[in-house]
Amino acid sequence: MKKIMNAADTLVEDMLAGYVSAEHDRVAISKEHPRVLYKKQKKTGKVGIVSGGGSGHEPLFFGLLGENLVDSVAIGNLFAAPTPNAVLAAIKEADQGAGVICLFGNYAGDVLNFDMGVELADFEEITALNLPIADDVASADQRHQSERRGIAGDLFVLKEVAAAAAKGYSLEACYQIGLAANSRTFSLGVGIEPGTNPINGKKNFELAANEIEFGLGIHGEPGIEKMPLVSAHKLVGKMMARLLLELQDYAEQELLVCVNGLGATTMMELYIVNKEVSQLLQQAGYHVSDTVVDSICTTQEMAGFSITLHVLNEELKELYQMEAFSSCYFHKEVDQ
Amino acid sequence: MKTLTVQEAHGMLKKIANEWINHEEQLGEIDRKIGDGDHGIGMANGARAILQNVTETDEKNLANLFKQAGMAMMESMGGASGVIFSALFLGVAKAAKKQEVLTVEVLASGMENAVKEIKQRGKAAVGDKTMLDALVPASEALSADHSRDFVSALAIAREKAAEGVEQTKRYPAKHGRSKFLGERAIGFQDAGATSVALMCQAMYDYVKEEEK
Ligand SMILES: Nc1ncnc2c1ncn2[C@@H]1O[C@H](COP(=O)(O)OP(=O)(O)O)[C@@H](O)[C@H]1O
Ligand SMILES: [Mg+2]
Repeated sequence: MKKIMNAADTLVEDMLAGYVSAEHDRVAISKEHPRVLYKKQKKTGKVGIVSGGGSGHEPLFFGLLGENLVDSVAIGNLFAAPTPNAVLAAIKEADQGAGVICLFGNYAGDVLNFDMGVELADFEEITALNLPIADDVASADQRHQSERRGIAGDLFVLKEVAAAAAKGYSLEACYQIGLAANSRTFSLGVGIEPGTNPINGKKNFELAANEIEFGLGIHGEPGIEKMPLVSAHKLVGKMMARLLLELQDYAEQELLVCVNGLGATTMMELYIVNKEVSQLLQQAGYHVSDTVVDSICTTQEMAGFSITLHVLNEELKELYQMEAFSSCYFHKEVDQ
Repeated sequence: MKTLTVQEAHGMLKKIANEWINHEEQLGEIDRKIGDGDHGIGMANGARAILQNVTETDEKNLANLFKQAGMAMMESMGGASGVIFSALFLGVAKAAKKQEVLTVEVLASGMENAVKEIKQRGKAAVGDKTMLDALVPASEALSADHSRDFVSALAIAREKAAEGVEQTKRYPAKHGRSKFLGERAIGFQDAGATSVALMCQAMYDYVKEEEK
């Protein structure tokens, strides 16, 4: 394995220290917990926004600490959900008296730890609600939508809930926005090369030379099928056919799109993917309000990408339009 | 052997922790087949935290010993198994309240607490291919024991736990990362259940050696 690092047991701390030095004017490490980062800000009394998850998926989750985005994050060991105490500390950092919403990918470990963190916060008289994000269509069928894993779709759900909070929506209203945004977010990924676990040097899955995994999860969880590598046109066509099925139930034709790289896939490849995505959406009669092409939800040097489609409605569209920025994402308000 | 002092219970905890550390690689390999391969790292982290943080602050406070073990795991691990395995020790801590020595009965009632808590938190049942498939039969064996003798009670418990691990090979996964594999998880054993079996084996080995 070739990784630039010091030692396995300082991996996460070294990374966090480096991030905080780079962003020191905006972000700091919590005094309550070394695995919690928060955005420096004046407390305005809005609903607090917490996110978090295992390390190794950078720039998620701390990359979204920012203006009209996330207030604090709880960070776990490599690929492992943060502990209940870290979640509690993140909730305390985000709390401004109006309650807190925790958004994270829907994985057993995250749900267990965030549930416990919320229970601990309750003892301290802070109301916090958990909203696990479940966008990966490869992981469960439509009838079991709430059981799906969370992948790059996190971005849109977080952005809209955070905007609602920034606009002064109540905790319950923010939560409802989150439920709606989550149920309208659909992602599908393919893996073409594994990533390496920097602690033990192991690859997170195995594939033959010309083989790709259709529907791969971000931790290397096997997807729907293994298939040969085909052209971008064919591959994206197959992915979009699956994703567009999910959109059938919606009358709205306005979408947000994210083409997310998994770590080692180049921007060149991601833009080629997006060319295919946008052509297919246009042909299908959809209007794309905003497209994010970047590597936001990654797994080390894993190669591959995911496509996320998010169906807007009037309310979500207005929330998405709100200006927001962080170290890995920005959105400028536009008059349409 | 009918009772363990706080010091002996501590010795047993260290034995369990070392068993997990020694099997880090193997647990990782098992998790890699149907999960994400980090179970060994997680359990070894938790085990090292037990070795570092559990101290006999009071030779009469058995509950505190297990509480420290549970909290050490909870704070060091994260992931699904952090909450689940810390609940195991916290369950025993609850049963050990006001007890000065560990008996088979206290351990059995602690394991029952743990099973209840883990089921409630993780919403899994026996047959879902989780650590419960090993923990529940081991806990039932302890509760059914009439000998009150650690060696004979744990001999059965570790057998039941090992059988439980074998059973997990027959099930599709319903929880955790492997649930997305469904039927494709059949044929592979569950990592968390393996950790439970290792724990039972270590407890048995400890009392067997102490008895001599
Ligand atoms: N809901 C649950 N109830 C009980 N045990 C569970 C549950 N979900 C997962 N587990 C156990 O956790 C183990 C996985 O642990 P680990 O790999 O350390 O965590 P993660 O799933 O976060 O990677 C599984 O093998 C299983 O035994
Ligand atoms: Mg795992």
